[in-house]
Amino acid sequence: MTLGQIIALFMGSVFVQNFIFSRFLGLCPYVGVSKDTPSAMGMGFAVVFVMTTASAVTWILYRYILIPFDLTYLKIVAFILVIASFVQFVEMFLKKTFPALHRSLGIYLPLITTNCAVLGVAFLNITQFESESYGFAKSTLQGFFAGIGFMLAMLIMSGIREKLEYAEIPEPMKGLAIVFVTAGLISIAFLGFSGFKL
Amino acid sequence: MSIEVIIYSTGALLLLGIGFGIALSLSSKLLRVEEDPRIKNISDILPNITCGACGFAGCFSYAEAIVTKKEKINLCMPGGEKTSKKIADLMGMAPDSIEKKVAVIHCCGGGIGRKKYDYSGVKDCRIINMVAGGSVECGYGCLMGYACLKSCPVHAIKKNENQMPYVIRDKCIGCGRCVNTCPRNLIELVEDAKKVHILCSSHDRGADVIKVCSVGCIGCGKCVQACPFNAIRMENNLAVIDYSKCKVCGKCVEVCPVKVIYDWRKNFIMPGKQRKSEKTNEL
Repeated sequence: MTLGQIIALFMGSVFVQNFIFSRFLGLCPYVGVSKDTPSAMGMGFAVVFVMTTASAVTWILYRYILIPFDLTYLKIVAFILVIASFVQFVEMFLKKTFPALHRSLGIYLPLITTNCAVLGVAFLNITQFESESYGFAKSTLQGFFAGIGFMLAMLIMSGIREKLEYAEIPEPMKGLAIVFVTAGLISIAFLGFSGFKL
Repeated sequence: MSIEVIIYSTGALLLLGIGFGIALSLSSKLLRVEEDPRIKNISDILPNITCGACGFAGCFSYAEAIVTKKEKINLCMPGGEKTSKKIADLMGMAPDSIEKKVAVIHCCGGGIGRKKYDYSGVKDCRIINMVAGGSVECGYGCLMGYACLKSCPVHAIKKNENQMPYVIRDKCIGCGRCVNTCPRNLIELVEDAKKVHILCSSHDRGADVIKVCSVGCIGCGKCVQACPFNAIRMENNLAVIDYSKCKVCGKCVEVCPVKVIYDWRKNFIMPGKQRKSEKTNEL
C-alpha cells in the first residue's frame, strides 16, 4: 500500500465523494446538530470513531465469517448489530467523560445507529476492497476519512449557520428552509471536485 | 433450502449478538456513572427554558449544583416561588423568597430620534454600535437592532408602532439575558412592583437632547422636586429613580414636560406613540 493510494483514498472520501455533499448520506444529524460549532465538533468526533471502528470490524466480519459460511445475505443485519454496539459504547463513554457534550448531542447520538453514512461506508468497503490486498487497512482508512469528511461538512455548516443568525432572512425562508438552501449550495460547490482524476 | 442454512445463519448472528452483548455489559460496568436521582427530579421541576438567570449553563447544571454543591434554591427567576417551594420540599430545605423581576428598556426614542445615517448592514445593534458610534444621533439611545428581542427566550420583547422594542411585563421572566446583550446598557432588571420608570438614558445636556430626540430627559429637575420620597436624583443631566425609595405614587409622571416618565399601570403603550403625530416627522 503506497502513500499515493492513501492520499487518493483521502481526497476521494473527504472531497470528491464526500458522504454528505455528493452521496447525500447521513443528512439527519447534518441538519439537526449543526446549530453551533462545539456540538457539531462533538458529533463529528463521535461519527469519526464509529465509522473507523465499524469499518474495521465489519470488514473482518464480512471477510472471515460471512463469506466462508456463505452468509453474505445477512450483511445488513450483522453490520447494523456492529454499528449499534459501537454507538452504545460511544454513548456510555461520552456520558462518563464529557457529560455536557452528551447532553448537547441528545437524541442525535443514539441516532448515529441509523445514520446511513455509517452503514454506507461499511457497504462501500466490502464492495470495493473485498478481494484486494491490504483490504483491511484500506477499509479502515476509508472509514476514518469518510468520518473526517463528515466532520468537515458539519463544521462548514455550523460555521455558516452561526453567521446566518445575524443575516436578514425573508420571513418564509427562516429556520430550516434557508438551511436546506445553504446545504444545496455547498453541495454544488463540492461538485467542483468531481472531475478529479486520482 | 436445507436446514443447515437456518442453523448457520441463526448461529452466526446469535454468537455475534452474545459477543457484543458481553462486551457492552462489561464496558457499562467500567463506564458506570453514579447519578443522584434528585438531580433528575429537580431538573424536571425547573422550567427547562435554559434562560441563564441562575448563572448556570442550563437547568440541568443548576439542578446538579443544588444537589452536589448546596447551591441556593431561589435563583430560578422564571420558576419563581412555586418552583423554589417544590425544590425545597424535595431537598428538605426551607424555601427562600424570590422577588419577581422584570426588564425595563430605558429608552423610548429609538425610532423617533434623529438618524445620523441610513444603516443598511447586518441588522444587529451590537454591530450597528460599532459603525461610526451607532446610527442614531443620540449617543445613548436604542439602535433598533433588536439583539434584546432575539435573545429573549420567552418572546417577551416586542416592537411598538415606532419599531421601538419594549418589554411585555406579564411575559417577562426576569432572566436578564437582554440586559447582557444590549450594547448601550439600556436595559435594567427591576422589581415587578416598581411600575414607574424613566425611559431615557441620555446624559447629554437638555439643549442637546432636544435637538436629537423629542422624548429624551432634558434634565429639568421637576420630577426631583415633585417626588415626596426623595427617590429621584439627577445624575449628569439625567433623572434616575432610586427604586429602593420609590413608592410608585406616580407624581413624577404628571410633572415631566417631555413625558419621558412612564407609568406602566396607566398606559400599556410606549410614550413614543402619542408623540408620533406631533413633532417627530419634522425631526
